[in-house]
Amino acid sequence: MTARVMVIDDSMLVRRQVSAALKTPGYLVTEAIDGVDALEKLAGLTDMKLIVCDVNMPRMNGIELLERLSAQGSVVPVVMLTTEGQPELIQRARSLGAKGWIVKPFKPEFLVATAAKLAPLGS
Amino acid sequence: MKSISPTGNPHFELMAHHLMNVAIELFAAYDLPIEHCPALEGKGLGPETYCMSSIGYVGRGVRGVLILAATRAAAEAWTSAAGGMDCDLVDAVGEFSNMLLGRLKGRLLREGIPISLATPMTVIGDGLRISVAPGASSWQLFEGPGWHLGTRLDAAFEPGFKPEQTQAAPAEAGDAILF
Repeated sequence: MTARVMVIDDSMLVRRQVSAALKTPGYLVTEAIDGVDALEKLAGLTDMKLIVCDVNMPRMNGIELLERLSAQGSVVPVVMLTTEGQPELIQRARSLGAKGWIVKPFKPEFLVATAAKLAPLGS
Repeated sequence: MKSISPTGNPHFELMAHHLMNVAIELFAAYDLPIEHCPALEGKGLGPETYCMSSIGYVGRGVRGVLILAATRAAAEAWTSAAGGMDCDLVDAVGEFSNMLLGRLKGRLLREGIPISLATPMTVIGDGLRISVAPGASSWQLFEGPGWHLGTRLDAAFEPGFKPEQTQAAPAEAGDAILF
């Protein structure tokens, strides 16, 4: 069994890092380059179990995406993966329903452990 | 590509000091040890420059730009160390500049200098040069295993600038928080 995860980051380097970390234990990964791209792809996917999302991105940033997902009533857990560590921003994301916050550069084992907790393989 | 001397501006000197530390820490996190080269201070990488990524920032009473400059060998080493062998060097240098300024932002928040960041803009090519900035500006140069990198910090302070009271401690690089 596996589970689908969406990775949203405007940096291809980060998308590759996150994808590699999550594919190793068996996650299926869908990539998006920003919030707009993510919403378009999410509209066509009904099996998303987890979203890993950057904050600072062009067109639609991660906080704006959280607002949109919250307004849509999405129940897919979202973990923010960002260089930002500002407490107000973390609190804002939490209030919008984010389930976690990881500051880059990330340790792959932390990311996989977070994914396993929020979207267990075989769930 | 010469620097305007920041001497005499304690806020700028504090920012530059933190930038030096976070640069060393960031590359160490990717097993890329770098050493500060004070003897080469005062100008950029010169004709060796192959990539430059700049990110603007703004705070209450201060605004400026952080520039990360790299030789081609440096950009290739970073991309490889980050596991992005098939990635564009532009993308990799942009992300490293993003992580660098993100770390600096955390340190400045602890000093009572909160800033907001723009997204990186990166250019690539031989013999890149950049104009001198208004306000305080300084280059710091670092040596890695077989390559060099430079950081330039530009900052313009409004008259009477003062740091704010320190707020809650920010999350640090590598922190993972589950709500």
